[in-house]
Amino acid sequence: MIPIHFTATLSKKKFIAENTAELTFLVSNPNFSFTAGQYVSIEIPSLSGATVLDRYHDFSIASSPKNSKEISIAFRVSKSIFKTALLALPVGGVVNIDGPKGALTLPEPERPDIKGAQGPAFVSQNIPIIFVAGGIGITPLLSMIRYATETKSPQQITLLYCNSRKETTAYAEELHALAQKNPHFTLVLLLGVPVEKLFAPYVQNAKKTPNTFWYIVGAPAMVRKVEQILGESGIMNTQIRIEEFSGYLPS
Amino acid sequence: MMNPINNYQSKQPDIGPDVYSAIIEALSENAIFSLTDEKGDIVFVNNKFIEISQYAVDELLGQNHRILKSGHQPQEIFVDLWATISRGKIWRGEIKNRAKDGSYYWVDATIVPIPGPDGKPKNYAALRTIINDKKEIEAKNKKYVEDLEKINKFTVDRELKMIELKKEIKKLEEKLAKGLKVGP
Repeated sequence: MIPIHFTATLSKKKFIAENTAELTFLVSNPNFSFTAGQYVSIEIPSLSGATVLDRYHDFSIASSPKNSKEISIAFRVSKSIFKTALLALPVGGVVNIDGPKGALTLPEPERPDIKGAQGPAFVSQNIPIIFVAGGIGITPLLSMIRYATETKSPQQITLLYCNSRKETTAYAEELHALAQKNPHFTLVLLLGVPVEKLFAPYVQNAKKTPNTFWYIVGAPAMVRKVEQILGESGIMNTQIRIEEFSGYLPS
Repeated sequence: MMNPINNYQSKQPDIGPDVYSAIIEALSENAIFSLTDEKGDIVFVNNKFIEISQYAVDELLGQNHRILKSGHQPQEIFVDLWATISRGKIWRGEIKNRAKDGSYYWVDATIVPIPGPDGKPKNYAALRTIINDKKEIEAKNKKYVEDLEKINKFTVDRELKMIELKKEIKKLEEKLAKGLKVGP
């Protein structure tokens, strides 16, 4: 799916956890669709005089691709130029979007029609998946869990979701509901810091199922540490997919 | 702007589009090439890029270059990279990338800004060569030096411990000698 450029209108704005906002946009382009786990680049027109790096910001889509006409994003509120402007955007305000982008998606059938299309995106749906989310890194994983539940996917998913405190745990209530609804989804909420230390026992436990596939999403230090723990446990790089929420420098 | 290809041109005066195409083709045989827009979104890749990254063309076009980011290098490197190229300067450095299958590869990358009508960078052309062998040798050398340092530290520690032990033995001998003198 090659990204396209379109405008979107802010339709909802709410706080979903401490210092954490969720914005929902109505998509103007009927050709837009995305795969669960992908992200979009958002440009705020009022920042047109700013540098490229201040003008655009990438956000994982938290909503399910079942309804690609409306997308939601979530982020920790900060004093950055971009997030301040985004949060100040009134309902009805318009942004420019490039997307969808990113390759952090659920396993899908092989595509022999595409040259070079091999690799971790094409693992079997029978292989269990463990999602490791640190804080707001939950957003792309939530999209996948929502989609897997809606489509009654047989994919076995375990989510290890870590936050420093209960108050900062976004989407906790909905995740509990999804775990009730989807027999193939297991939720493990972890509270405390450092994140990687909390994950360690679960990661060690992974030795019992060596073919498990891992998705790690969060701050760079957390992603690197969990990846290191997995590596030391004998998990191959090819079984791991990562996405860093790290400020968004494009390289 | 000086034409870089003409820097060392011989007497043959005509370097036309065909020659440029041939040069690009030659480079494409063993170099990874991509062109991005001002945000780092990919607008062109060569076959080598596809082969090494393991992504299909339609999985790369429009994607941001950070689709290949390994996360194994300090953020400062990318801050420096962007600070350099967004000022219109060429950046060169070593980058660790992550292929689609999760495996890693090292590249020596040169990124050249291409200015738009307003003089600001509009596109970035990047040429990369694989340097896995070099990085492997560096890693081995590093490990060798670390191992040597460990052995050296162990030897020094052992020597210091021996000196301490000898001192202790001497003290004990002296005490023992005194004890014998005061004995029955």
